[in-house]
Amino acid sequence: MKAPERLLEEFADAIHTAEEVSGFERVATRVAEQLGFRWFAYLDVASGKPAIISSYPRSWTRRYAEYDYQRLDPVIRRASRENKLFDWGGTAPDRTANQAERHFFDEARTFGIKAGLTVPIRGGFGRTVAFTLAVDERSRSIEHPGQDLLEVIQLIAFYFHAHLSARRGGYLQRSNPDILTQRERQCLAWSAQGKTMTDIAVLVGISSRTVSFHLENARTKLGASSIAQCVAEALRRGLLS
Amino acid sequence: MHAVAIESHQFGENVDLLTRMYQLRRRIFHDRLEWDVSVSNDMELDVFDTLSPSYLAVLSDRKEVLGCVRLLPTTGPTMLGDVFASLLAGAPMPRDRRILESSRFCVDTQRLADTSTGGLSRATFMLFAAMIEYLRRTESCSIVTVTDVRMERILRRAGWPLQRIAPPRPLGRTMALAGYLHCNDSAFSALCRQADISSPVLGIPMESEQA
Repeated sequence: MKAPERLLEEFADAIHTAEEVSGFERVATRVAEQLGFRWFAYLDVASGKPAIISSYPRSWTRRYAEYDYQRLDPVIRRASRENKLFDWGGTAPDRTANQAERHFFDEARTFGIKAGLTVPIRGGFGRTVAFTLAVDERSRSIEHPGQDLLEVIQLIAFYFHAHLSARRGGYLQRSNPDILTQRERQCLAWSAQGKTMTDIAVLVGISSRTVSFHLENARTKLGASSIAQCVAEALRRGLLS
Repeated sequence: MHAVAIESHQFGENVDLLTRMYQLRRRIFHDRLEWDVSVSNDMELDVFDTLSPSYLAVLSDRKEVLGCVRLLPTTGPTMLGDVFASLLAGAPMPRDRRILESSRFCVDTQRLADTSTGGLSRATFMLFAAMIEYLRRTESCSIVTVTDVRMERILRRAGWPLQRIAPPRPLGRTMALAGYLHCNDSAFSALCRQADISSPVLGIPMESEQA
């Protein structure tokens, strides 16, 4: 493995060129693996539905979103409380966990997620964001990581968050008016006209599942917590005209 | 005590230094001045840190960060143009290859207050001198900055006066204003004399310890 400092440098270069969420996901996935982890996950607990960007199995993140697991997830609850990087899911049984939390971890394990390190980030205005690097059964142990590694992980988490916020805040968007694909714009424009997913599916000639896919992508890209907010944001930025 | 410049392509080899700088910024801007900035662990970092800024830092002989400042080109997004445009009071935002914007200027008052030998003002003067030297090095002519009247007073006393763009306005708990700091040879000499240093002020960033 390359020195963590070297990986941070490569990461900092690569994250600069990340444009859309998929780009951010690729860059973080790569650095997580290079650092010896299996997955990364970035969870923004804004109001309502959290935005998740991660390399976790899709079946797990879908389930997580569907059942509002962020309310139960002990890692997120801890991230909202604490300020320092912490590890979770180690070998020692957590005696403070209640039954629902234990069940949550058991379920995560069925997707292979065994343990991890999480960096809590406080955005302004009381917002909490958690950046996690996680391992599975086959990953090397992450117990007692070195101070160097922890510092690098901390910076990676913070850079990831800052870059993503910069993209979403529009500071960098002037160079990037094409943040939404044509399909995403099309679906959002119909949505702005008050059309339902089923309507849009008929109007655009795609399945309503695909409509939902495009709207969801647009929502994530614009950092909105609902489709309604996403429409408002797209209009504000003049993306639908 | 010495000053260094860190460019974005050197971030990887200066993780320690960056970490300490972001830690100092958290202590100053979040803990003491109570700005609503994003923090994680013991660090502070914002979207402008993602725009490949240059940093200047004053380091102690034990390599603690005693002070630092962030510099960004005014041709891209700026704090004055994008966040504090009201301080321009209608004046156009300068967008010039030879004008840099400085932000997050801070000095570790806590650590330096303990040293009896005027360490605080010395670190402040050294950081000012480093800013002028950096302007020269990059063939820039001026810095534009958002600051407050307290800092304006410190600059005037140091012999490097701020040229106001508009009158100060209340912002949070301070009176904030925007202004220019020009590349100025006599100010540079005065600052070097007061900080008891000679040109060049800027050294290379610390070498990696384990190298």
